Amino acid sequence: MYKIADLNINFSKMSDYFGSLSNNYLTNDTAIDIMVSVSKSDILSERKNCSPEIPEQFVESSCALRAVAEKLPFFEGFLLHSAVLDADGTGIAFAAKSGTGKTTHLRLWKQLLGDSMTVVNGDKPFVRFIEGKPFAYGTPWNGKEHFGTNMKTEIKHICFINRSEENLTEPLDEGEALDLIMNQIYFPRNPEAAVKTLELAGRFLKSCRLWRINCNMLPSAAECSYNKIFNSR
Amino acid sequence: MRLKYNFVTNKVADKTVAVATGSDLDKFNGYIKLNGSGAFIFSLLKKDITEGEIVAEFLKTYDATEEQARETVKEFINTLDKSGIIIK
Repeated sequence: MYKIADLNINFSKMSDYFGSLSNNYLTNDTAIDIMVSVSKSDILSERKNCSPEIPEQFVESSCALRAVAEKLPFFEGFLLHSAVLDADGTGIAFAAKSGTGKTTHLRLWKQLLGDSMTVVNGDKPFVRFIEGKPFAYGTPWNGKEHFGTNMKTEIKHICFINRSEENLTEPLDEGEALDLIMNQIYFPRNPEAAVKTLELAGRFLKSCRLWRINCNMLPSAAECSYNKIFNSR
Repeated sequence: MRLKYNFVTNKVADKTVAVATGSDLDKFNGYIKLNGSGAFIFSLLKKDITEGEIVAEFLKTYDATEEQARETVKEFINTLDKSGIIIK
């Protein structure tokens, strides 16, 4: 049994690879919140979304993620494709299309902030509303670099990253952010869960300060976004 | 006519947003933002309905002339049709 995002999740018959990813999330709890079982047909179906050379254990892990993500809305949560960091207790999500440079920007923040910053999840955090506030969690699914920590942080800022020659961080309104966040959220197939996910997305946008970060790959990019976010109260 | 896929809707950032559900998510993996009257017409299209019936329902709900209602409904249906999410 694993405790991920404060939920006890039982994965049956998973490969050793998944076990190695999830070691930090083992729990002795016995009450189960979510049961996950990945079948051969799930793997075949998931393969349609993957390159053929991807090993089966990776596909299995992806199936397990999908299975959990389908259930999260019933626990006030959703899967947000993003990189999340904690800077002295403040949670910040960097969201962007794959390949835009959110991991690069994360690394630049790490260079800038050192030990006062922790990477919560480099790729696939779960976000759950706890007592009305959005918290992002570390999960075993944290990108190819495996940047992540088994912890949670309250998300106070959502930043949408664009690659640019010039560094500029500017506030966004909810309407602008809506278009940017919809592609970063996993929408479940279950209609009830999908309706709930839309509600949670709306609450998430209302709960956080919203930013557009246009940035290059130089250290000054992190200084620019950090100063704007933390000095614009 | 009716919507080609099963959709659910909810309010997000003061807009009504629609997403496909079930296996239809494989066929339409995006989202649709709807304004007030668009959301109203969209909800009617979840069941088989004619353009004339939509106009009649529109007139019961909105303060509009028949000509305005016909124009609004036609324009909205054309937009959905261009996106390939309606069966006529």
